[in-house]
Amino acid sequence: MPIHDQSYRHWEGELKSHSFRWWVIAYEGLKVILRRKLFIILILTPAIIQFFVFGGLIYGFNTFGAMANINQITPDFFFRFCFQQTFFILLICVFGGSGIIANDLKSNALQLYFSKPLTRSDYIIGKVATILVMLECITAIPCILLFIEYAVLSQDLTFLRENYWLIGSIIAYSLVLNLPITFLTLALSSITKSYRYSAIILVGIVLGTTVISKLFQIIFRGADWANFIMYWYNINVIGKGLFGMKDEFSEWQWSLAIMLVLTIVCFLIMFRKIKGVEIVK
Amino acid sequence: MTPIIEMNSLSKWYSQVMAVNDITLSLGVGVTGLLGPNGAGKTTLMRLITGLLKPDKGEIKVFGEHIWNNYSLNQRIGYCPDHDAFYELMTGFQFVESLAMLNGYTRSEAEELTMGVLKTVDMLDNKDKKIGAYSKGMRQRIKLAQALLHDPDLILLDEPLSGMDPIGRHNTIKLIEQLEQQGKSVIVSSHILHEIEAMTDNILLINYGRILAEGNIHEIRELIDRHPHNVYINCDKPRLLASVLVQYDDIVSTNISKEDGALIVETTRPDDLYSRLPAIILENDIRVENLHSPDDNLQAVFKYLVG
Amino acid sequence: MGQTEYKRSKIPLDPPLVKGEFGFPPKKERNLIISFNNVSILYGDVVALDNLSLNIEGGAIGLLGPNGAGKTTFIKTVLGLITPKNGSAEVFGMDVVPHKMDIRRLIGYVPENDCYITGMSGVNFVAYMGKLCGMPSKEAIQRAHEILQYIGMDEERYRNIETYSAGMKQRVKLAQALMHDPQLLLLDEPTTGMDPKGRQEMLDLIKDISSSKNINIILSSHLLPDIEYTCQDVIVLREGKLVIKGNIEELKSTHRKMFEVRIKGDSEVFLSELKSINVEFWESERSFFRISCPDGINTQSLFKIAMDNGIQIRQLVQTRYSLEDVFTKVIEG
Repeated sequence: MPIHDQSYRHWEGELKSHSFRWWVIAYEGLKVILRRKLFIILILTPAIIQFFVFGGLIYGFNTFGAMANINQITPDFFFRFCFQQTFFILLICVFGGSGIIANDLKSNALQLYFSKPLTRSDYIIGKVATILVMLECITAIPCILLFIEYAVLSQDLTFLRENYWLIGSIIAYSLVLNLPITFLTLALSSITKSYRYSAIILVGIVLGTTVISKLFQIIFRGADWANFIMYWYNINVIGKGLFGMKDEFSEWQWSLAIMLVLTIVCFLIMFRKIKGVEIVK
Repeated sequence: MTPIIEMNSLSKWYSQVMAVNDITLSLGVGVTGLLGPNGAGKTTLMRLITGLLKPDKGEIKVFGEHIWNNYSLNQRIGYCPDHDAFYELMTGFQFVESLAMLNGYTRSEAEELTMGVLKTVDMLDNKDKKIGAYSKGMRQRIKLAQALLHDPDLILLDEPLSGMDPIGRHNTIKLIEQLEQQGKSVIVSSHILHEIEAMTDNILLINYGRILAEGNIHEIRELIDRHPHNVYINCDKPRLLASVLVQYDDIVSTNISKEDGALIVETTRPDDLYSRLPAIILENDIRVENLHSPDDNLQAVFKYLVG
Repeated sequence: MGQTEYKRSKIPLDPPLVKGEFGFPPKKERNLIISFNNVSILYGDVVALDNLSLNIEGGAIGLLGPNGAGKTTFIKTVLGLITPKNGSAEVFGMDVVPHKMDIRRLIGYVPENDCYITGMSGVNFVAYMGKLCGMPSKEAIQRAHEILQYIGMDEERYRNIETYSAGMKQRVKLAQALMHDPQLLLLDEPTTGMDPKGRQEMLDLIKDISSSKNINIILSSHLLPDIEYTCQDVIVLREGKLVIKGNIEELKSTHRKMFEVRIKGDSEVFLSELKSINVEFWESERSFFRISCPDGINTQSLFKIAMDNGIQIRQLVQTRYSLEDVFTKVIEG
C-alpha cells in the first residue's frame, strides 16, 4: 500500500497489571513537581547539602580521631541528622505538596482519574507516595547512607555489632517524621481548591501549635501537658524513644497516640473528599 | 431613525494586543447578531458599549451620550455576561432582588419586579433554591433575569443560550423576539450560527477587532461575489435543465452531483437565476423535488469572510 | 391591508410515536452495549433515575433531555461512579457494580466541563491518561502522538494545557478518551465553547470515529443539530424516566408531503394563493415557511404560483419534522 493510513488505529496491546498503578500516579506527580527549577534550587539542594555536611563530619572524625573536637558518633548523631531535616520537610510539603490534591480538584481532574480503571485506594496511595518519596530521600535514605559510611570507615565491627538496630530505628523514625505530615498535607490539600490556602493552613498548624503550646505553658505556669500540643515536640519525643535515649522515655506512648490519631483523622478527611461524584444539595 | 449606539474610530488595546481596531458604525433598534471567532473582540466590544471599559481612542455614544463614567445611562442598559459569577449561597430570588435594590428600587418594588422577571424566564419553581444547586441552564436564566429586571431599552447578551436545553433555547429565542416587538434593541453574541439565524437576519461580523460585514445576511451573501452562488436542484431532468440554464451568461458552471445526480449550478447573479427559474421549469415540464442554495446561509458567509 | 393568518408552532405529528422500549430481547439476537433494568438512583431525597429500563445496541446514539432529566446520572452509572439503589445495570454484559474496572477499560469518557492535569503539556497529559489505564510507558507516548495527530493538533501538543484555547481543550479531552482504544465513547457536550469552524471539525471527527472506526458512541448534548449530524438513534429522558427511544430518521418521518420554502417577493400573495389550493402552512423561523401539501399538489403548482406572481422561490426542500419538533412534542406532549 503506497499511501499509508494516517488516521486512527486500533490498539491491541497488553495492559500492565493493576498492582503498580499507584506508582504511575506518584511518578508523574513527582515529574510535575520536580520540573520547577526554583523548587530544586531552593529546597532540595540545601537538604542534600546537609547530607554532605554530616558525611564530612563522619569522615573527619574517622580521619582525625580524638584529636579534633568532634564528639563521638553516637546514635544521637543520626537522630539529629534526621531531626535537622525537619525544616526542609516542612518546606517540601508546603511548596511541593500543598497543590497535590488541590490542583486536581481545581482542574476537575478527578472525573478523568475515576473514569479510568483506577480505584480510590490507587489514587490515595499514589499521592501519598509522591510526597513520601521526596521526604524519604532527604531523611531515611541519606541517613542510612551515613550509617553505612561510618560503618565502612570505622574499620572495625564493634560499631556495627552494637548498633545494627539503628537502621530499623532510622527507618521507623523517618516514617514517624514523614507520615503524619504527609497525611496532614494531603488532607489540607483535599479540602480546598487553592494550593495557596492549603499551604498557608499547613504552615499555620505546624507553627501555630508551637506558639499555642508555649503560650499555654506560660499561662498555666509550666504545665507539661501543653507540650503535647506542639507538633515537633511529639516527633522529638518519639524519636528519642526510638533511638534509645532515656530521658522523658515514659511519655513517648502519648506522643505516639497523638500522632496516630492525627494521621488517621487526616486519612479519613482525605478519603471522604475524594469522590468521583459531586453532589450539591 | 436615531441610532441607539454610535461608534467613531473606536479602538481598545490591552498592552500589545489590539482587541478592537478602529470601528465606526451605528446600530439601531432591533436584534443584531454579533458574530466572530474566539478572540475576535466581541466581549470587548460589548464591554465598551456597556461602559465597563474605557476606549483608548475614538468615541462611543449610547442613546446619544458618551457612555464612559455615565452612570445614569446604566438604568437603560441590561447586560448578561458570558462568565458565571454568583454568590453561590444566595437563592435565585434573593440574588435578583438584591440587584434590583442596588438599582434603587424600594424593597416592595424590587420584590414585584423580581417576581415578574422570574416569571418571564420561567424560574418561579426554583427561585428559592440556592444558586450553588442550579444547573447551568438555570444559572443562565438567572443571568438573563437580572439583565431584564429594570426594563432596559438596550440589552446585551453574551452567549445567552449556552447550557440551556432545547426548550429553554426555544423560550429564550421567543423572548428575544418579544423584546424586539416591544421596540427594544438587543445585541446577541453567539457561536452557534443557526441560533443567530433563528433570532435575526441582521448581523455584525467581527474578526481581529475589525468589522468584516454588517447588515442583512442574504444581502451580504449576495455581495460576496468572488464566491458565486451554488444552487442545488434535484429534479427528474437535470441535464435538460443544465442545457437550458447554461445559455445564460450569469451561469459560471453546471455540475451533476455524483451522489444523487442532482444539478448544481454556480451563478454570479442569483437574483436573475431565481427569477427565470419558475418559467423554465414549467415550460420544460420538469418535476423539481428539491431546491436550495447550500451556501446562502450564515455558515457560508462566516466561512467565506473569516476563512 | 388584510393580514394572512399563520399557524404558529402547533405542528400536528403523525404517525403516533413509538413509546419507550421495555422488552428485553435475548442477548444473542442483538448486540447489547448497555442494559438497564428498573434502575433507581437517589441523591438523598432527589430522584435522579426513576425505575429506568432501557437497552442500547451499538452505533451512534444521542442522549437528550431537559436539564435535570438524569443524563449525567445515567453516564455516571455506566462508569460505575454511582451504585444503583434498585435494579441492575449491565454494560457489555457485565454488571456495573462488581465489574466497574473492567467496564472502564472499555469506555472512554469525554466530560463536559474543563478538565486537565496542572503542569502537564498536551502530549504528556494524554500519555499519562493512557498509562493510568495500564498502557506501558513507551506505547503510551507513541500512541499519544498518533492520536493527537489524528485529532489535528500540531505544535500545540508540547505546550501546557492551561494555555490552550477552548477548542483545543475539547480536542485533548477527546484524545485522552481514545488512548486505550475504547469500544464505547461517552461524550458530554463536546462542542461547548467552540467557534463554528471548530465545532464542525469536532463533529466531523466524531462522525468519522463512529462510522469508519467502529466505535460506539453515546452523545449527550443540548444542541440538536449536533445530534442529527452524528447519530442515528436518539434517547430522550425526562425526570429520570425514559420518554422515547428510536431511530432519528423514523421519528422524523411523516406521511404528508412537507416542504420548507423560502421566497423573495410578496409573501402575502404567495400565502393566500397557497391557501386557495388547500396547502397548510406555518412560519417556523424568520423567513421560512413550512408547508404541508395534500395529495395532488406537487412542486409544479408551487412554481406556477411563483411564475404567475413574479415571486422567486429560493428554497424548496422536502422535509420532515426536525428533531426539535420531535423533542418539543415528546417533552411537552
